[in-house]
Amino acid sequence: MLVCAKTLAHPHVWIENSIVFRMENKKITEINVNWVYDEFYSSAAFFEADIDNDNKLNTEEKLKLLDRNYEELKKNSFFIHLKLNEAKLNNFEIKNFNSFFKDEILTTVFTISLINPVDPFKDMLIAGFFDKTYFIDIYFTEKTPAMLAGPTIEACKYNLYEDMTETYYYGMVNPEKIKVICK
Amino acid sequence: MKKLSVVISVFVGLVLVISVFLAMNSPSFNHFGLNNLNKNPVVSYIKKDVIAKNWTAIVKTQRKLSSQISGNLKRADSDKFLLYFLISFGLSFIYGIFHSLGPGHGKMIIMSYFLSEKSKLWDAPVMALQVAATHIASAIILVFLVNVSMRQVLTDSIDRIFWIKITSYALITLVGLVLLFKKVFEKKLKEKMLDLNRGVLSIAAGMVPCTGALLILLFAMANNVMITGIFLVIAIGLGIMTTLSAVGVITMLSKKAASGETFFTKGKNISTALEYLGACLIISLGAIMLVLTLAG
Repeated sequence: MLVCAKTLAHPHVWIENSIVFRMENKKITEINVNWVYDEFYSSAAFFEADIDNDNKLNTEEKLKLLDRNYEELKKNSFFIHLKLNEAKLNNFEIKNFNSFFKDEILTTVFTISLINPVDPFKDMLIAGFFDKTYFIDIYFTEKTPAMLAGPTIEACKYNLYEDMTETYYYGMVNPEKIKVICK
Repeated sequence: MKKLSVVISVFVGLVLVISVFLAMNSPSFNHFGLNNLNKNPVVSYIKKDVIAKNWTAIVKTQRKLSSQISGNLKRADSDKFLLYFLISFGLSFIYGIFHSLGPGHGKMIIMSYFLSEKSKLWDAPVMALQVAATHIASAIILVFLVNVSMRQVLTDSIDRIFWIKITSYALITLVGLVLLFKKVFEKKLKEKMLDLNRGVLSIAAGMVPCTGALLILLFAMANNVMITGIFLVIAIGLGIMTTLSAVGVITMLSKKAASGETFFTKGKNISTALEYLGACLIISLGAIMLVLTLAG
């Protein structure tokens, strides 16, 4: 469904993003991602998924929606931009992917499982989610953009910021990113 | 001969400038280090303050407007229909203005056309209306006639949009060539011919459907308020038309000022140079977009 992303620009789709950094043994092992799509896109996605036009999704339709969403997002690397200090971090797997409608709104959840857990006391993990074609505007929700879960979270905090060193969409947009700081 | 060499120089220059601009923002050109230009703190500072800051505000406004329109559209079939409809109509109009401030929607084409042609101030809203109407109509046609039966509006549209884009960019290049031919060989085209050129250019610039309009129509369809949805899409079109008209008028006024009708003694030469520049810009835009689309 996000197939138009490469050909048309501006934000036409909005995704409200919130994430949870999960820690185990003083290391970040996973990032849980929760995306809530805007009403217009949700409606269009439902319209397309509801093949038999009965205003509800049966098991087959739900599975098709799930498969299609997964494949389209996979093509776009799930719009994930992770960094470990200054270097790109690509060593992760996507797990627990699910896409469903909640109160007529399309919601997608997945987990970024870090192959090599990150020690936030030594290294800085930076997470960004953005579509460089800017068909989709993925923005962190204002209320609770991120959470830290697990032991030792008292020593850690997160910082949401606009990365001024990076731009996309004709230099007009600075991506929002979250970094985890532990002391 | 002198004229031809000027035209070729301007054309090559434009292609280079636009190519470098595109390259700077293309991930595939990363190995040239061009993307790293953004890491220069001075550039970053300027971009944030002048462009990115305003753009962020525009996007946030669009996001809020979009959410309010969908909310009102859902309530549009209630007792207070007229109230919600009027609010939605107004919001959609403002959304159209903000939405078309971003790249695309034919602003460059309108700017280039009014640089290349001697026009009256009234021509700007007329051309803007033609572009906006085509832009919105193509979305309505796509939803109604092509894809609804297949229920693959978003996914299936991609192939059709590809061919619409190819046609659009080829037509833009062609009209640009006609305008340039007219200038180089000093052919005096009849007014009807000029109107035809402008009409073809407007349709070509607007024929790629507005995805925003497409999504609103689908939303309206799902909520059984299709007629309301069409009116809101028309309101968006009027908003787009407002922005495009402003671009056209500003271009004409700038051209008049630059050509020295009031300030410069050699006004005619500058005006002629701007007309060549406009025609070359239209050709460059059409050709570059055509090549980029074909290259995927």
